[in-house]
Amino acid sequence: MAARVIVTTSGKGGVGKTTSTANIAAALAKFGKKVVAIDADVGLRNLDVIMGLENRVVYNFIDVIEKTCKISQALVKDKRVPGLFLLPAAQTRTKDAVNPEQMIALCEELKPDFDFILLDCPAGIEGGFKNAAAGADEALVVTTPEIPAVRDADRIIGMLESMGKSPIRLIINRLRPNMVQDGDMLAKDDILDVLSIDLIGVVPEDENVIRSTNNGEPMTMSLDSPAAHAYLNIAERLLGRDVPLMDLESYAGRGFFSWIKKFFSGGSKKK
Amino acid sequence: MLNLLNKLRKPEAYLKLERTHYGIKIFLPENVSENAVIRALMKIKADSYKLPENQGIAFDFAGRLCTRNLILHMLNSLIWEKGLKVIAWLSGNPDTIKLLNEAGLSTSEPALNLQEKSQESQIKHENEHEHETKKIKIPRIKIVYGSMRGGQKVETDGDVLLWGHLNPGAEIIAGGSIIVAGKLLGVVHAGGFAANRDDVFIWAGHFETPQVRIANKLCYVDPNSAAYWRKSVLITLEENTPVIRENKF
Repeated sequence: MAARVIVTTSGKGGVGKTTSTANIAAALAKFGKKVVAIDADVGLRNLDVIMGLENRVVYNFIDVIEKTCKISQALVKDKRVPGLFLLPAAQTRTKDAVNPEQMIALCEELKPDFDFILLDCPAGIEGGFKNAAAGADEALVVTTPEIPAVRDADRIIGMLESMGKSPIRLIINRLRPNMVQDGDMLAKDDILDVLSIDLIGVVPEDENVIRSTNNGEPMTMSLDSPAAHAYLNIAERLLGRDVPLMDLESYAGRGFFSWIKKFFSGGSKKK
Repeated sequence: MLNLLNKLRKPEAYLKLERTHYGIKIFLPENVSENAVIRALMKIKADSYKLPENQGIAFDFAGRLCTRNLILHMLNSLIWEKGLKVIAWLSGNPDTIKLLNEAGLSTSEPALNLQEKSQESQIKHENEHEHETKKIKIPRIKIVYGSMRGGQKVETDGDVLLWGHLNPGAEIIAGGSIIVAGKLLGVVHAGGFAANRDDVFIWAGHFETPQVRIANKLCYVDPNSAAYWRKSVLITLEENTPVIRENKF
């Protein structure tokens, strides 16, 4: 087994990197893969909370790097989904506590034991981003349909390209089809036109995200919602399966409730 | 015994330095391993090359085939980490030049710095014949293949042809003219630097930027009223006034 190492990044903060990492990691584990999600946001860790594992964190990956503990001691196993692990960040340290070489070495140590290593990258383009990206081979760039987020994503893609990461794929998060239809929000094609990279998934705005975040249970573990389906589809595409994009436009104007009703009544959920 | 130890030791790489009119040129050796080059580069101390404001460092790969790994190491552990001001990445190897261009790095030999330019001008005034015999290498045109993303910048004394889009947050500053074959969404400044030329032009395949700089003129464009918005345009300076013409032929 040699894991694929994927960094989830964005440039701009608050676009859903950590939520995406947690949900994709849980979805990949549900599909039978052995996955570790690494919180690379040293000093501002959140992945443990979103995954609902904060009470079980003892060591973190800085402890591993500094050889205070073994890597197996720092890994937190999720008991709800077989094969899902978290490697938390240190909350009491800063991003200077690690360097790119140490991050590469950490990923190399984990690679033989996992199918996927997902790195949750901090916002920004400084040391934290460079550390997280250094260990990865592939990248998922998360953006929301807002001009500042797209602009920051463009900057990050340029840096990832210069670092030789490939493939670099895009997740458009929090899309509101109603607003797109009214011309108040950037459409998927507008974003792809600027960023010119492959799209791996579009996640619609969904209040279940807030609910699942506060409950500490990634949506892809159990919840049936548009965002959960979008993340499950992204995980499938990461596994190389040909999954069509969800038809978000078809339920624009009718709201998510009607979409869910349509989904449960056996209507087509995909294009 | 000593000979045996010497044989086992990894071959060292030595960096050759050269003083130039724009600062320092660092030649990377061609016939040693990439790891040896990286080891040699890592020995450069943060305050080793404190140069005047108008000077910088050029790395010269000569015929060496440069890899993404080497560029990444240089950016991460040397340039960003130690704060070196790199103004050019030179190479005689076509694959290396392509890789550097794709990364948005300047591969042109830096032109004369401002101070030296003014000195040159003075010399020409005083002794025109002597100056005519002196060869100065100024880049004519720089072709950038692929789109430039936010944060990427190209600066050159000559002309620039961008064979791609210029995304928001990306910049081209040229002493000469600028052609953006794709979408112009970022910042362009033609006839910039000390050149301040008024015989330059900007051509864009798809004009969608709110600001254009040509020579010493700064023009703002209102997307709501500009008829040429998102059209193919030519921008020139006529009687010291910027003129934007839509491609209608």
